[in-house]
Amino acid sequence: MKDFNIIIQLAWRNIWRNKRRTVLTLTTIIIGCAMILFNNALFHGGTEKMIDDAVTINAGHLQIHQKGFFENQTMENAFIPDSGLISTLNELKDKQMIKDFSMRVQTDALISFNDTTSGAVVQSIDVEKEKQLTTLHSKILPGGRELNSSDRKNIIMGDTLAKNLGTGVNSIITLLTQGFDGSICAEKLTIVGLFKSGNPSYDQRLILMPHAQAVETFAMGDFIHSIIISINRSSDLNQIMSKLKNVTDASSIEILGWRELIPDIVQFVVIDVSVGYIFAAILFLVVALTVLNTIQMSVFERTREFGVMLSIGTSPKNVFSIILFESVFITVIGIAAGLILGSVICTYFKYNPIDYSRFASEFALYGVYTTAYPAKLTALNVVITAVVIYASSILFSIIPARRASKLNPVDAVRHL
Amino acid sequence: MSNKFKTLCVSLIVSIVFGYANIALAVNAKEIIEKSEDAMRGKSLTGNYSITIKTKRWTRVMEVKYQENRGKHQSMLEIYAPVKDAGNRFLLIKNDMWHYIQKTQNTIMIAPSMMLQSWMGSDFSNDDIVKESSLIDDYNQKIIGQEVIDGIKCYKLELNPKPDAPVVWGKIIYFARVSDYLLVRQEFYNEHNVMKKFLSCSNFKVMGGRTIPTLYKMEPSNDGERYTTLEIKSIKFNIPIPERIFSKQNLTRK
Repeated sequence: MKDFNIIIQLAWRNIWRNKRRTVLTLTTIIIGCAMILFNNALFHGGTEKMIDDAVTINAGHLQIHQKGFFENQTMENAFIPDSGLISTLNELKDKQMIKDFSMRVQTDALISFNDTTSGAVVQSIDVEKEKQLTTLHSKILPGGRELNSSDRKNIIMGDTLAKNLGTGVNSIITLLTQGFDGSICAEKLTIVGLFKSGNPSYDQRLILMPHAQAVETFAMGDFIHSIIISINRSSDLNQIMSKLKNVTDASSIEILGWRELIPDIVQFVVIDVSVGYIFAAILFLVVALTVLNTIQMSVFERTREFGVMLSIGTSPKNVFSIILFESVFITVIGIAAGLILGSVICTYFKYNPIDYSRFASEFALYGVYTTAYPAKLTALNVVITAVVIYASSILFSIIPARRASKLNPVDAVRHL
Repeated sequence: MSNKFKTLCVSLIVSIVFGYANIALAVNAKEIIEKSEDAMRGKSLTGNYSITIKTKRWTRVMEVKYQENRGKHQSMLEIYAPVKDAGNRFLLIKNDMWHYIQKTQNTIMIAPSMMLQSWMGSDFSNDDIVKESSLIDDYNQKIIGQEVIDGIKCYKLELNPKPDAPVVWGKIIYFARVSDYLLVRQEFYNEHNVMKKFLSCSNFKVMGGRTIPTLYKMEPSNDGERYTTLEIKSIKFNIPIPERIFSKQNLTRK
């Protein structure tokens, strides 16, 4: 115990004897630690935002369809949601596990304005419910308005689609498609607003129409094409999915989570996360090697001193411990300061997301339409950063510490 | 096996192959298609058809009247039944197609790019219905053999689109009866040489003063559950059709 006190004291004093060296090592650890924290927070926050944007714009976390609809989105692939499914959904909503759910019908249609005709996808929205679920219908360009619950033969459409048709707000377009019963469905509809989401697949092709009107126009009866569900906590996804699978017939109904609904984003996230790991690994290595370097140098500098200590009877084990404790002190102080600095940086970038909007078109090539990337600091990130830096620093200190403990006292005292 | 015998075999095979090819080449591929189209469509025609669309969920029967002036590349189709769809009309003049919608009482133009989309949810495309593209002008035809289809001896023709032709099929295989060149079966392939749909013609009988197939069935090749049939109820060939039939006034008349 007495030995231990002396070791601690010696180690502590040693690190402050050469202040410049210690400060240098500390700075490396602090900055390294902060950078790793920030790097991870940025990748984590960015991917989460990307997924969140892609999910909330129109897809939802979960969708329920007639089996085969997602692959082949035709009118025929419709289903009648049975009462068991609806009551389960309401139950989950009461338990706060899902935010809300909404039903949609969807079909391809010809849209004609004057002499121009274009193909489009018409999707119905339950105006009140979708407010809880998605954001696309609210991204209305100035001059138009959102759909409201009293709208019937009014629609909103993507701004690119409107441009291609040569139409705009307050114009009347003709919609032509085939109804669920095979008959010709035609309707004159008034455009009340144009939306711009940044996602070309919506802006170029999509028309949103009030659900009740769509059901009537397309002669859907009780049939619908999809139920979209928004959940409160992403960790509940699998549990909700298995609950829903229990009350539906797997041979006729498909339940898809956001991973299946937005596979392009998921793939992008995989790339993004791996890049993040590579960055973190490089930073970890830099920090660890710096610690190794400094401790190594300080041991080398003090060869003679260790020689004297060994000559007057300090055991090699104690010399080893002194050096190890030096690096423990430096690392712990460094990590503590680094975590504080890192958290400050992360918090700043949480509220001031990095804006990549200048590269929006390049991002769009990968199917990514998020351009503001906030940092998100998680407890896991903090713990992992601290543990990994600590462990690697200590691990790398073992080499110089071992070397010092194995010095030959006679040679060491003669060392200059 | 002696060399002599080998030579004999080879020359025998060669002569059979070439002899067969010579027989096949005796008739011109283009001529077959021309005669077949002439027989089935004439210079002009006026016909009443019954179109049945069967899908997984529903079966629907439509009564339509079709008039065509082949030389001038004009056609007009009007739906008479069922009541819900009655009054919808389709007009084609050269490369332009219009659809008059009874319910909203307006006309929409069907862009050339939409000619290959489904006509009224059937397995026929707009192009199949109003015959904008031409098997004679837009394709190079060649005879690739003979085959027996449903017990009928047929020429097998391969039609490949000309480089600039406004068609999407990568290839069409056309089976015409050896006896009178009438169409028996037509297969539509995409550019990857995968068959997408096929048309089978049957019920050959005398109608409008000539023998023609009177039942046409189009089926997508990847889906056993749906098909569309087109049955000729009555047809008249080469009776002059007044020019006003193919006008926008007629298209939008009340």
